[in-house]
Amino acid sequence: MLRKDGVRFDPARGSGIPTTTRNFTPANQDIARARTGARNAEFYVDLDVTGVPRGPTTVTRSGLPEFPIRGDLAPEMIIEFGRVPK
Amino acid sequence: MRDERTQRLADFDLRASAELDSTFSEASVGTYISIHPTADEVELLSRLGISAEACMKVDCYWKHGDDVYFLQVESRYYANRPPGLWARLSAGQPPYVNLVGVVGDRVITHDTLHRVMRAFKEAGVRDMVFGDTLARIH
Repeated sequence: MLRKDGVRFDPARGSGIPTTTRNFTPANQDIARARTGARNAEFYVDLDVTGVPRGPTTVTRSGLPEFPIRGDLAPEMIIEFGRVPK
Repeated sequence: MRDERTQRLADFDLRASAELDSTFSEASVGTYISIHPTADEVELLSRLGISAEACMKVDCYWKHGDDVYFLQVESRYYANRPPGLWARLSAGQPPYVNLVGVVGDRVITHDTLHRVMRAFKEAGVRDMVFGDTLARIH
């Protein structure tokens, strides 16, 4: 979906699209889920969100920074994408 | 195929068994798995190198009754909506009811989490049906 149409930020669905740092390469999906709290971690997408509005930075219990993106994400922002190993 | 509630409960148990340091139980609210640190976890904050002021939002998976909810407790300094209790159905496999509690506090502690959980319990969230955008329930 993100690769084709992008993702629109809808304030009626929450305080932002949760994202974390690019400097995190999980060995498998279980680790990705545990460290980010994500419900699913089958795929990853690296994005250049320079200039996109964001909310305050928080940190997960595992020490990963978390940025709530409060603007739309477009396909041309994608730097890299792939599947997280099972 | 297992029904959606069974999937949520199984996922909760799997996470809880793998994340013992993030799993908490409190008699008045039940069990929850916290994704972010709270402002009163001094040792953890020190280990992470962050101050209590960074704890403006705490997400958790909350086992309430016979189901699991995705609960987000946010300071009004973090949230994009006024203080109150909000909820929506978040699509996915399985879908989750996404509860959002916005509080006037500057930071979130375990006491804040428990207070919000009790408020959702008293609001009768288990018996409500939600759409896909956040609706104010209290």
